[in-house]
Amino acid sequence: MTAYRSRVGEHSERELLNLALGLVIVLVSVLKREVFQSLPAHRRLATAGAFLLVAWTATVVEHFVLFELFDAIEHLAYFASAVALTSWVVAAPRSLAEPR
Amino acid sequence: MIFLVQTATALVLALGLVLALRATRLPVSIRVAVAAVLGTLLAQQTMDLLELEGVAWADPVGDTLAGAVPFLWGALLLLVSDRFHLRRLSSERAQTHSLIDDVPAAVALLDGHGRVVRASATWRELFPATEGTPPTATPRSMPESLALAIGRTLAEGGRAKGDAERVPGEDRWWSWGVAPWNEDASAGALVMIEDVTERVRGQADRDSTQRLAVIGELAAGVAHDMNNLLTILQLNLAMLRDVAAHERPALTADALSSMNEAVELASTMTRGVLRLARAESSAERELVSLPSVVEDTVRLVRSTLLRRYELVSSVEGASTLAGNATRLQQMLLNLIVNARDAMPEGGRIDVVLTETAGEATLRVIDHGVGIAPRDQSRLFTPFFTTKGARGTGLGLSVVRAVVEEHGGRVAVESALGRGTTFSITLPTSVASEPRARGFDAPTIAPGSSRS
Repeated sequence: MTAYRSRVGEHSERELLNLALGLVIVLVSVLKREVFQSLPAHRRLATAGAFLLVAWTATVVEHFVLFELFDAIEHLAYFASAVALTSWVVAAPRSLAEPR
Repeated sequence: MIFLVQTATALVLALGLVLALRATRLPVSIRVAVAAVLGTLLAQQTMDLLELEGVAWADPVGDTLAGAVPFLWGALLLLVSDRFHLRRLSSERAQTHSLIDDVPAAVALLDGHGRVVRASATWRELFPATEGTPPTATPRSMPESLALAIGRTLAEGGRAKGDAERVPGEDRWWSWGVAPWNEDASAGALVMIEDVTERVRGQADRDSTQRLAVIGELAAGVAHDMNNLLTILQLNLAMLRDVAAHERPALTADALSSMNEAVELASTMTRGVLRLARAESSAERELVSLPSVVEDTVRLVRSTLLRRYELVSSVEGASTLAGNATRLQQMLLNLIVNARDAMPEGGRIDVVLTETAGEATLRVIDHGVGIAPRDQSRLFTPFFTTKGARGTGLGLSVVRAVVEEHGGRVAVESALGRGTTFSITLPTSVASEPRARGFDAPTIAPGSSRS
């Protein structure tokens, strides 16, 4: 952590924490995949989550190698995640309504 | 390029935010959570754009917002899962209630205290205004076994069912089933009642019809033999008249003895037919001697068989069981008549009663035409017959009904051209002195006889 902070600056802990939380969410999602697979339009939701994870990973990696490439990947991943999440907002209401 | 991507991302996020806030079909909580994620991401992107434009405070604010995204994302997933799970439970509950409401049988869902929480229309007809009340606490009577089963299922779990049980105080019969609502018995139970009164009455009618058919057949044989016996009586009377005229006492005694035997035989035959004709209830149970049932039935049928038939009975042991002698005799009569019909050219029919621990096995064996394998599975189906117009198709269904009434089982072995063996296995009681009843002979005598 100290080495990482010395290399990338004071925001390092937040970026690493984001990545760690993202991995925890992925882990929980895999363990509870039956629950998540039963959600409406779950593929779009999973796609949005996967691109967020890519973005958080690229944010960390860009400080070590190929900054410009991983910076671009980070922003493209955010864009893809935004598209996927927005499309889920469109698709989900078709199958998910208020409980009666 | 990065600027363009970030701008496009911000625009898509803004669009998503608007759509999320307008998605009225989504639960409010989910709309708020999605809006929070999209809004935070939008704010983060905006801060990044401002940072590119050299706004100093945008960087720390953007970082803070970025730090919130994973938490918001995780919260969104949990919320969506929870709401959808609730929705599915609610949907399943609605389906179950709809099913209970519409099912034609009387179905009720009881809570852990046995109170009715949901009932079908048919149930409400049986137990008016009982929702919220245990069905066992209403004025409506129910079979005692059903009330006990409900209590047992609620206390210990497990399933129970009853078939064609009479409702106390009513001329109605119910079949019923009780099952726990789920693995936890205390969660409640599902009770289903079906009114099978018509079926029970129909079965009784079919039994009566079949019994009348057998009686008719027997009556023809009895009439034939009765005629022979009466002829003997007439001849002997005529001879007595002549002998008396010539005063020959020895011949007179012989003639009287012969007449007495003929009268006894005639009396036995008519008593047998009359007993069978009497419509005794199948619920009428007493201790019955199986050897006596076999001997009496064989004696009765033997008198009606033509000479080309040889009816042989073999009885071992002194089996008794709690049952209905008339029904058992009807069962055996059916099997013997079937055996006779399977041998139109005549032959030997064996009736064998054996006894093992707790069980008696009665076998009726013929050496007739046999039964085709494809017909064997349908033999006990009412109205199924291999005799064409000569058969009613009821005999073997009555056999099965009688066997089931006595807690037994029936099996058939047959080979085309070689004959058929029907095996009836019945649970026996420990033999006791008092009320063992056969057909005519109250004595239970081990041994065998042969005609």
